[in-house]
Amino acid sequence: MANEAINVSELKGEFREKVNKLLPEGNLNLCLTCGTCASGCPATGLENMDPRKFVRMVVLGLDEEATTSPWVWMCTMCQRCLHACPMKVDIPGMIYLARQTWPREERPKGILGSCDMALRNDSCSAMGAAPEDFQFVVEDVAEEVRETQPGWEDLQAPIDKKGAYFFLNQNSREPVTEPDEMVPLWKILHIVGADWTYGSAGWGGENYCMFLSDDEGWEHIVALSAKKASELGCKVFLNTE
Amino acid sequence: MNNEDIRVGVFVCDCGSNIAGVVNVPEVVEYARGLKGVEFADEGRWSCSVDALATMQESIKEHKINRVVVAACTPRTHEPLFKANIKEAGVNPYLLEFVSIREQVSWVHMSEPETATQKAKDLVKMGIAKAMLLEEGEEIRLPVKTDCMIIGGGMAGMTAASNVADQGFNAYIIEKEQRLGGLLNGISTISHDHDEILAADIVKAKTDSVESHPNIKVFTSTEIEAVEGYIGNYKVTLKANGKSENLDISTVIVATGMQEIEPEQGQFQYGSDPRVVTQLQLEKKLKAQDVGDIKDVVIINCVNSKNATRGCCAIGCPVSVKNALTIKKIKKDINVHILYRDLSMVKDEQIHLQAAKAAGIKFVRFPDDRYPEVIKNNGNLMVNVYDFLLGRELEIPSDLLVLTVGFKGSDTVEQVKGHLKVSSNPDGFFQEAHIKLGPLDFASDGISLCGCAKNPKSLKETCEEGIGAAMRASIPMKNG
Amino acid sequence: MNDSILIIGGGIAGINAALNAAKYGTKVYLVDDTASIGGMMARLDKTFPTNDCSICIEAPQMYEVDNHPNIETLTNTEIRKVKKIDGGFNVKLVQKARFIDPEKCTGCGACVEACPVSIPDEMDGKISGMRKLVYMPFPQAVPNVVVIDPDCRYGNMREKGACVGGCVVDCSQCRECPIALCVLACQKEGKDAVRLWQSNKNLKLEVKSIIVAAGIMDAKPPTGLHGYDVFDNVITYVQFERLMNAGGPTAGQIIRPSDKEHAHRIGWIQCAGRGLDHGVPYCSKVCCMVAAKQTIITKEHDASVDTTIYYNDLKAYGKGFWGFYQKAIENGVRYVRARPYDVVEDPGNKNLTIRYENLETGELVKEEVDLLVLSTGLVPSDRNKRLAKVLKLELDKFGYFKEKDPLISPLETGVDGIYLCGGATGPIDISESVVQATAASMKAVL
Repeated sequence: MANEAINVSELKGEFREKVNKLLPEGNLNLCLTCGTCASGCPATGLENMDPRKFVRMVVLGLDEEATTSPWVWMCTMCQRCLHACPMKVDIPGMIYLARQTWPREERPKGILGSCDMALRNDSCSAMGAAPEDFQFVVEDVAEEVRETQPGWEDLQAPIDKKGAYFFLNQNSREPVTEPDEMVPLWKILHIVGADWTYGSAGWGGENYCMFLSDDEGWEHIVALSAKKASELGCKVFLNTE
Repeated sequence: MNNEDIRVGVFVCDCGSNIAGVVNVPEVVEYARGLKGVEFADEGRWSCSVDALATMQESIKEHKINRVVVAACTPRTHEPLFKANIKEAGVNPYLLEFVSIREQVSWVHMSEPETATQKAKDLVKMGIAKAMLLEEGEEIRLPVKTDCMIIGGGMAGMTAASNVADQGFNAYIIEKEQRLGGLLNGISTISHDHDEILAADIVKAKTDSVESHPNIKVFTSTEIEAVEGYIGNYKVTLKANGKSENLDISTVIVATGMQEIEPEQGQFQYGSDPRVVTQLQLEKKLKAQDVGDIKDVVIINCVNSKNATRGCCAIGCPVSVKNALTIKKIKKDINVHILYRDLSMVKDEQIHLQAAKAAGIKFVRFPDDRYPEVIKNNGNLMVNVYDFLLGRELEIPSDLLVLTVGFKGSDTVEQVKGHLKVSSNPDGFFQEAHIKLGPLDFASDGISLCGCAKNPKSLKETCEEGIGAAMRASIPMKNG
Repeated sequence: MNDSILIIGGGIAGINAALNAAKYGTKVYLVDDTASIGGMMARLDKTFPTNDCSICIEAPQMYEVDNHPNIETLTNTEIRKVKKIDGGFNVKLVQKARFIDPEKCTGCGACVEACPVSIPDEMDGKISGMRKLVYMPFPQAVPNVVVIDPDCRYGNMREKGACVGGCVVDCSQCRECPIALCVLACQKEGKDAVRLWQSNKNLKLEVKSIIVAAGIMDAKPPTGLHGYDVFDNVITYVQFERLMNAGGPTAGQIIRPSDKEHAHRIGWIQCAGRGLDHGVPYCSKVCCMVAAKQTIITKEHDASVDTTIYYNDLKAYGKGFWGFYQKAIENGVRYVRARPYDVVEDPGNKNLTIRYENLETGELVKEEVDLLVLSTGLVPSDRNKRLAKVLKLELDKFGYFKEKDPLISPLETGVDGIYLCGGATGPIDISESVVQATAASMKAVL
């Protein structure tokens, strides 16, 4: 099918209309077709696709091919294309919309599972770690460092410290699989004398619901973290992801 | 004069590396020094630079030089300069011999320096021999009156005529058609800033002002039968309705415009299907605000352009965008596809391009060596095009197929060339005196050139050239 | 009423406006704020599509300007105030000191030779162009008079070796510099033209009309664009033009900044920096032909050099341009439809690897070059804002001078009696500039 000629009169272009509505005025019309996006994109060539071709499909109204290609899930949302684009065409924004056209249950299992996991409890952890597990691991690791590493007897890794200046979140893979990896950042914060805290809720830094293009889930996670940070009276949210 | 002791000075120019990069200039200078009659020879990095010219004057005086040979670029651009310079040094300007060792040596023998140096020596030797035979010359001044003939009554010609006439000079517009306006008479709208204006309004305003100008005389349906003479003194014979009329003319402006090159019969179904038209044929429909009951328009750009024999048509991209937008204005739900190779839209034209995309006009890019195919199937026209940005073949239905073709000079070009002894390129566009610095002049004094008779251009550029050509024609008339 | 006209800018547009008006019989003041007329064209090597040597064809016109009795050339001069009066304008100008008596200087260059201090040239610094503190802007400069760097005074350049004597009095009290090497060299030539303590001169003119021919500039790439200002061997197209120019800092040797070795693989990135972020959202139209010219000339210097042009839409809009592009292809220039993004430098040999997607094949390609040239396009002159304010003219959204009505009255402005031509109106090539200049001169003399 990929090599058959495309009859343009059969193209509807509904996805293009959606893009035009949701993205700023004229965004798609600015494209110079220069291909800088594709030159910079880490996903160029995968599935015989690249950001330039994706935009081209959207412009021509090849909705089906643009949105159903598994390539839309290979995009890392790194926004390099947007950064590179001379006309600032919001390609990641379009990819997000393309992902949304997929029925939720058909979206990639890994991302879907991670999002669902994060929605399970207040941790917002893609690994599904419960708040009490996180608290235990953090306290345990901190204590071990204080006891075994000379010079770090005062190292702190506070959780729910009221009035701390920084609210820090944490990629949840680390407390679950490689807890020692959390320590270097604590040490840096310690050396610079930062007043910081984790939250017992909303500490999960990764947001797979965003990658899943699940608006509600994404919003839920962000809102929960923000709520916790403001409850604690923190001034700055340090997003480590 | 006969018994004068002839003392030749030879000045060989490096032209930076233009000459010296190929020709062994010191060797040529040394060679010249040894030739009979040569009193002085020297090398200059840029003989045309102000300091080198001053040094040349000093050398002429110091060595009492009375024949000058300059071996450098080309007399076409530089002879007047060196003539003036030796005149300032007290030598009659006609005692200069200019030898071209750049155009005729270093540029054409770039990869054979030894041959080039030998040829430069030979040419310099010949130049010296000729210089020794030169005699003083004198320039005579011929009066130039104030009657300017403008050939062609399109926008370029009319603009030129207005500017000539506004100075109090007489302008005679010779138009072969029944009315003034030229190409613009057949055009619907002109893109203007961010909007469009009716071409008819522009033509009318200009025609009215020209026809009512006391210093402009318009000859429509008129042809030029003969032109004799030279600047300040042309005898022109006009012919209209079988009758002849004579004019005494001082200067001439050529503004004969251009015309579309018709596609070959059958090319993209042109000629065999009435739904296939050129841009100018489309303009007629747009002018009437009537494109018929159609749904799908396809425009193919670069038809018979940018190939082995012909270049870019220069205006096709902005014209196709403008006309596509006009079609959309007439009927919003018509689908329009523009098939192109390169989009040549500069500066502000980008705005029209974005407007076209916003209006839903689709742009499809095809490879230079893979033009679209037009297929007739059950009476329907279908355009097959390979979109290389997508890497796929598209099938686009078309009930109006517009071909953006290139242009050539007017049918009268050969006639005008004969009358004025000027030249043109294979497409019938007149050849200007110098592509960069003499864009409005012909090689002969007193005749200038403007508008699309030179090459295709926008209306704005055409009008600018009309004004400029008026200046070029007016300088000799002003000085009398 | 005064019948003279003022032309602002002495580039190819200003020169042609001046020559036409002067030949018509009008008195012309041709003003330029640099030390010589000539403008952008004087910096170029060749001109497309004929490869005519740029300065070689411009110099005779400059010389003609210099010698025309109707033209008074005022270089190093800025327009300060313009007042509309009945039938014309009162103009106040400042002629900045060049620290030389122009009547006495013959451009012999003795002072330049004597000057002990070389500094990086404003124009060619990036590609190792140096100039003395006293210098001739370029060999064909008009007027053929040297300029002295204002920094020479007050001992500002003492550390660099400019002050040779142990002066006992302070500069501001002496104001003579009798022992400066340039002064001595000039005296030795019997000219005594150096005036190290010359002041600026205020001038007043009354003219009936003004032509703005203030020109255009090449866009400076932002730091980091394709490695510019980060990697040594990334240069702009104007810097490359200077490299291949026999009158440039390398005398026409195409050598790379990092090691002064000849470049054997050179890439041109077209439309570099074109975009919303960098202020050049539009096509500057000349860059395609400039690149064609630069590759053709590079190949003429040395046919074994690999030249590749990375481009998108080819602009071959003018007479002879398509043939010129074909000539480039015949000469072995490689055209690739792509716009590279990543540029990575090999820290050892300073070669550059670029990564791009070929638009026609969809292939992702990595290529190494020795020298990378950025065709950055054209932007409005940085003088425009100030000039527009002084002249009470409007600029368009990009910063070019606005015409009153481009179709109905081209080259006219919102102020009666002020006309435009050349790069002041937007991106433009030489012949179009000459056309506009000729037209503007017609309007200005009437």
